[in-house]
Amino acid sequence: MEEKNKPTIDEMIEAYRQYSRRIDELCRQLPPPKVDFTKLPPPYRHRAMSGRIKTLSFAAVVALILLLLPLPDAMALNRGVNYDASVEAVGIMIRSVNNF
Amino acid sequence: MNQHGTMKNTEKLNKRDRLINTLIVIAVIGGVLAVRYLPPAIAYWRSSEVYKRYSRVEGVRATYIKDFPLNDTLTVAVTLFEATDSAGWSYLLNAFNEPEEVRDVVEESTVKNKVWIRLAPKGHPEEKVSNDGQGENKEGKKWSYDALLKSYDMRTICVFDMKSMEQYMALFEYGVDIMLDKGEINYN
Repeated sequence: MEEKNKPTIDEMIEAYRQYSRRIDELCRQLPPPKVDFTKLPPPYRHRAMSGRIKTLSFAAVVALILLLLPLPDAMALNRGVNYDASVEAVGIMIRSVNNF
Repeated sequence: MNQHGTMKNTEKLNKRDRLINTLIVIAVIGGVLAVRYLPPAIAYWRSSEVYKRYSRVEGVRATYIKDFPLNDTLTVAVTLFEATDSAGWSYLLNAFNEPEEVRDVVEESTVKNKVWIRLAPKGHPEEKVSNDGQGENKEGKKWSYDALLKSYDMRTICVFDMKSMEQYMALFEYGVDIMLDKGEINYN
């Protein structure tokens, strides 16, 4: 009787396959895990956060370089000019016109 | 198979992370570029053509004044060119088609300290006004002159971007009013 109830190897493999397929289907239906990096233990947290830190550092360095670079001459309006003195010079010119 | 599914989810997470990182970099760099370069680029783009033409000449200091007040209501765009050396001044005189013989006469005479005004075709202050009547302030005709002021003494050329006859009259009145205020003209 015991021999009859015991599943064969093939039946066990088939049952395992069905079980795996079902698990796989369930896994596929799950949303990607949301990992809160700050709650991971130190080594994992460090590894997980280092990518973001590196990216932000890179962006900050590039932004700093862009800020420190002088403006190209082509884009600078009234570069190196004392604007108020120029406005005054225009006034002086008008009041000195000889042939209105 | 379970492990395979988890790996897929991890890949998705990595992709999402990479996308967020890329967006952060683009946002930071884009923001800096916009703050740093956009205002001067827009200001330069809005300046006059004549400013753009001569602002990078060596020995010439160019200023674009968007709203020079002529009176309480009228303003005018002015482009001022100041020569910082004799080479720059020669360049300006050549560019604005000042005849050689006129230069020599003015440089050696007492009128050197005077400022001279002339009208020029709109957008081309280097050229002289033709006699075909274009730009005359007749009814229905658009004012199409720029005014050009030139001072040998100050080594300066000033281009007024005139849009109307009213602006020209206001320019005239500006000069006369100041002279009246200073007592240089007395009508009594």
